[in-house]
Amino acid sequence: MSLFQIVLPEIILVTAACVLFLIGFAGPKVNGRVCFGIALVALVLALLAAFLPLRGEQFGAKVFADTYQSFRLSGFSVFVRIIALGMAILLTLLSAPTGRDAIGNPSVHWGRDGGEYFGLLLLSFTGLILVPMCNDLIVLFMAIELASIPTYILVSVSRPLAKAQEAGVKYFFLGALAAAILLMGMAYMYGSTGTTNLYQVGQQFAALKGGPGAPALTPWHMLASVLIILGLAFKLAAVPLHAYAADVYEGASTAITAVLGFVPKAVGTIALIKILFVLSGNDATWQVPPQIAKLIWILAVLTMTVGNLLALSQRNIKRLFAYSSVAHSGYLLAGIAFMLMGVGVDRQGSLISSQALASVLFYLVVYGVTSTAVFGAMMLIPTRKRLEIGSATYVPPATTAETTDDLAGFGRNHPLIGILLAIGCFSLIGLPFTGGFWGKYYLLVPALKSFSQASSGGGWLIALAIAIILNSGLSAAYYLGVVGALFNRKPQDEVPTLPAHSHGSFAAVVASITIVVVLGVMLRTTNRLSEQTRTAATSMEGPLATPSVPVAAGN
Amino acid sequence: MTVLHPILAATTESPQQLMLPLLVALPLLGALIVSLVRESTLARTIAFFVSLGVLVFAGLLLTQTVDGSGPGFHVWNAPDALRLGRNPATAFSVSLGADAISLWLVALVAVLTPCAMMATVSSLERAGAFFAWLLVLEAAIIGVFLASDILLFYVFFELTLIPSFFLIGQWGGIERRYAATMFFIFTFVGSVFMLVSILYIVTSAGTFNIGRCVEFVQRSMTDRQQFWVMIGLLLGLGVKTPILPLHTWLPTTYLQAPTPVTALLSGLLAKLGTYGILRLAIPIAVGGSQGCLIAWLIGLSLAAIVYAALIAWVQKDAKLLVAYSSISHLGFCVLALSTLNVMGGQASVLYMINHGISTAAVFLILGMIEVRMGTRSISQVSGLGRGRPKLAFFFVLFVMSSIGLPLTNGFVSEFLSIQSTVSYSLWVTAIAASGVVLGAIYMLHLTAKLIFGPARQPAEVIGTPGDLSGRELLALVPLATLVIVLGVMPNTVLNSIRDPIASIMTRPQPSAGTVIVEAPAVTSAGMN
Repeated sequence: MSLFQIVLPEIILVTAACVLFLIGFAGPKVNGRVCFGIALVALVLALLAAFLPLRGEQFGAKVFADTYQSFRLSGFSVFVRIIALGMAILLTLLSAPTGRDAIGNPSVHWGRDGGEYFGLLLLSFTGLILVPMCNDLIVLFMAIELASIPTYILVSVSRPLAKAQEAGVKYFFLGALAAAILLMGMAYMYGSTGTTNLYQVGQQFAALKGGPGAPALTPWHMLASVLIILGLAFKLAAVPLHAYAADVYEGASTAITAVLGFVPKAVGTIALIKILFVLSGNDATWQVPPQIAKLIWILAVLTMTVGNLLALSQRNIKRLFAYSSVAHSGYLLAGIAFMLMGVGVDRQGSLISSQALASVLFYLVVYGVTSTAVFGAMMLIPTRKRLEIGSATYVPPATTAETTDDLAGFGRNHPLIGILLAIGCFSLIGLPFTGGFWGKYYLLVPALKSFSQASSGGGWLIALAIAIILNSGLSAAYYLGVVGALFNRKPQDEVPTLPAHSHGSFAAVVASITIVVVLGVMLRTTNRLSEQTRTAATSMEGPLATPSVPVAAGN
Repeated sequence: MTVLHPILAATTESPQQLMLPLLVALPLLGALIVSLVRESTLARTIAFFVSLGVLVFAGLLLTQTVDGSGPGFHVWNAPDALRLGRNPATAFSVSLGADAISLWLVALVAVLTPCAMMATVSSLERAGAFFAWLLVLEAAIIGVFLASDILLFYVFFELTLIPSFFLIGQWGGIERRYAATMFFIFTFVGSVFMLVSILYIVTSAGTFNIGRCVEFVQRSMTDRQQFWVMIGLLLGLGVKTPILPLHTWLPTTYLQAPTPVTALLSGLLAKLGTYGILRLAIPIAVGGSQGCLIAWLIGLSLAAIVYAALIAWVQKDAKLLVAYSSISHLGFCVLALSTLNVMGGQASVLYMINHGISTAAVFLILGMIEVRMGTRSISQVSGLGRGRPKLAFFFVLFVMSSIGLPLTNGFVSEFLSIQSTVSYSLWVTAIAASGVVLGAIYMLHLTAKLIFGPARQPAEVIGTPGDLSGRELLALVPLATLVIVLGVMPNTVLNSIRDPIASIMTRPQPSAGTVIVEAPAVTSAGMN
């Protein structure tokens, strides 16, 4: 495969983004619907292009790379790209304009900047799909920042409110700091290994192994790794780098909040997995130095517990779901910790650590779809907040349901939307018959498999598994608060009338909830997705399909 | 190979098998229809007939099993679309199975649900949604009793939370939202521990079939592993039952829930806990290695019997009194199970059925009193029997059944439960027997206050509320009939459940190096 074929989806997206930026100059004549249409078509084309590598029958066993090995297209990256583009379509649908001449929908208000809004959205998704196949520290950093920087702007331009501007600025400064930490880590990594090529860094670490087990890293290597992990922890909003989440999620328009709920999380998770793979010396058993594994373990426990505890006290549901998304980052990190700590093979002879990686991918899919559904459903519920200007009262611009009071009794009057949001919440709790249940199931199984076999170190695994289930119990309290507000509270005043919501966002919510329910009930589908994640997880390594030009160290 | 679990040995196919999924699917389908109905009476009628349909199917299966004309157990395996994995022997699948124990409990569900529906007041807001959730609850409970897959058991166990949450939270008393959330979180947190135990068993045993999972735990796990697995299971099941220190959610929940739902909570949901203990926890202990845990179970049951009875004695709110009496009664149920003998097992299952009938009936009739008087306080209301012979008759009958008067159903199960403890220790028997006396005291106290004495009613009640209406009689007469029938001929139940109980209570044969996973796959008989 040529470089062109490998990055075809990215090329499509960036081209469309450039077109959108140019259209932005056309002024208000070009309405939001055109921009939205271009973005959606580009994403669909990119998704089709992402399926292209699957044509070859040798796929999964072999890895494609360009001449300089900046990108490695493995089964893992193909899977993640397809998932990410599917999610991108759902997330873009949330921003669908209400009508032909609309400048947004009840939640989003881009004014005259429709071209920029959708162009930035596409750029962010481009960064997201680049991350899984980066094989070079510099390209990886650029991809991560390509995914992040547009979101800083999107937070601010998504609605004309002071708190959106504030959120954008806050997000930008903290994000810049995290990027600096990440870059510093990468600089140390380059300085201590002499190459920016991730695969070669991994091979160098593999050479440090004395036998089976983790590579013996030098302190410089460790410093680099920890700095990189911290930089990525910001993307995941992992505790203690979670402080921005609530303000940013609250300030942004709900459609952009949904984007923030998936894109940075996916970027952080995938990049972290790639870095850890390197730290294990490109080893499919994922044996990293125990300090690193313990670091991830601690991050996981802290993130899920603190996230859930903070969410408990929120009355603003956007802040509530911000902290809930912090907690879900914790579950993802727990899956990664299981991947690093799980040892041995199971009854069928497959590696437990790669099962844990598969469970992380599965969880990412389920969480992404569910969080899209939940934020999307919130966009369909009107707010009861009113701005008073003089003697008149106005509905604040681009604002939908934000507090539990807005939800009170809504489900009784509008059962369909209420039930959609309720199913989303149940899936986030992890109740049966939703995708969320199987997400937690797959997350826990590798830990227990490894625990029942491990001769030592099982205590860490079981403690983390118990932390996960206790946190699910904790999280039930606030998710039930949302569902309870929808159905168990009486409507406060007049029957709230639905705003003219866009069909696009409604379709995205229905589609997401359908996926959640199908994954929960139609177990054959669930199993198929899980097998896909298994294939993806086992195909991170592998020989190159075409012998490429060897790259000298430090090139 | 000894048959440890009847479901394990089930290989035959019969047309009745399709009835098992129907028992779960019919109420769900009914719920879908009922939820669209806006008119209150119509919603009740449809829901009632749907639940009658479930009763007919359950009755058909049960009679065949009891009189021996049909197979002793039924299995049904879902189509491949509902299976998580390629290999049917090791994959999670929606597989249902029923032996006499399951079928008797399913029949209990099928009887109580229509009665609770009939006892629901006519003036209920959004009745369509209420009856729809009741049907979902029925489906979920039946699912638990029929699950022959250990994770499916958990799935249905959790599913009961959703309808309960909405039923309590929307139609309950003043503190309904608090009660609904507390009930959900208590049960959910308890059952996630059960989930860890279940997943641990499943990942070690490599199968999801309850029978084979239990067999694996009995034979291949060390005492320490068994201990922790059993702790996890008991945490989940014990919250639902409730076993003593885990009961704190119960009074508020029972008090705040609408009365028909309280009847189902105490009559049915509590049985999910005891049923799970019988199916999953007790077989682990049968081998004799968990004597310490069993001693704790017995101690906690005795404590529940006495302590809850004493609390019930001093309650002023009649519903709260019966709620605490329910904790005390379930103490007997767990106590009988913990004796680990066949008589105890039989007594316990019979106790589940009888307690379901009589406690639900008492709750329903208390609801009827509340509708008339606007209060449940026994200090404000008395002499209800005057001019209301039907109310008085049914109240006294159900109270007698609850106390365990001979010729009512409560007597046999209580007597057998206590008798089964003799083999364990006479001290246990003595303490348990004292619980019976306490039970008589508080229930008679309640009856004396409410039904007899001078006629007194709160000042707000205008006129003299009448006797039971035809709708209310329709709810109570079936239960009253069962009280007498099961009191006179308990052997129908006891004989039919003897074999399944005996196979649970049999000490597993020590066998060296048996690999359970390689046993022939019983789930291969799929009916697509």
